[in-house]
Amino acid sequence: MDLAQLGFVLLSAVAIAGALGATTIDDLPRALLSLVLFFFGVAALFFMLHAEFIGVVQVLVYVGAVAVLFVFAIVLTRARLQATDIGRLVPSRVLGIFGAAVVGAGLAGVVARTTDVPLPAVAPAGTTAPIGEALMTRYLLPFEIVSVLLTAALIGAVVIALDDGAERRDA
Amino acid sequence: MISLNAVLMLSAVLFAVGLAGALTRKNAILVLVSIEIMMNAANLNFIAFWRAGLLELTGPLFALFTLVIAGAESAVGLALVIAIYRHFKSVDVANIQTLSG
Repeated sequence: MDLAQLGFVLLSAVAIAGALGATTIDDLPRALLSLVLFFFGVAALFFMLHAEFIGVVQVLVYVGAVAVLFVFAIVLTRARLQATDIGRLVPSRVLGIFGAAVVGAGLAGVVARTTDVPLPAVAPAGTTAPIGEALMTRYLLPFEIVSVLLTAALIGAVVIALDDGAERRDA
Repeated sequence: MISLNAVLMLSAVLFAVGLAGALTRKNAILVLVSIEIMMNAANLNFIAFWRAGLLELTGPLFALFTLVIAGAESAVGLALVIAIYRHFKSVDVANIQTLSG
């Protein structure tokens, strides 16, 4: 096992541990910290696969914005866990785990049956400069559409989360 | 060297973990957390296929657009959670059973 494989196994373990923590820990802030660990693990994997730009954007968007958004949601809802959420294997929960295991086994089975390709030693061109150039030329229209989508989604989020009482006071 | 299948297998495991979380969690915020995990697993595949030379620049670009859409999705999702909490005083998805109530 060479150094790259060792690093990949370690980072995979970090990502899987983070994902398992985020999906099983019942304490909300701890589950969220586990999610941040998962985001960092995936970002490190992006760096390892030489997609540096996507790795940086992953850290900025997920750890910097999405995780903070989740913290705000927890604070604003003061979400308390129901008794049902704490470690009990109710039938619906067993069914959910079973369904996810079937989907996971199906995906893993498909992967196992495909012919394996070792990743080339030299990464294809596709880091920051080519991505920026493509966004301004061939992918300009999708880029603009996704900007409009993001703006609309953020305005919509503010409108949805707006307090009804405040609306009435303004009117 | 790392092989493509190793990355794809990791992505399948992460997706299954996220799906299990989305199906078993009772707290709406934690359901959204699980959906984010599934989106990240899918993104990992785009980067892996690009790295293997099977996708040209489309790989990282699609991953980039997915990141933006995941950000928009979590913003709207959490706004909905806050609005639902204000109405039902609960974020437990098992308690939210009425429409237009």
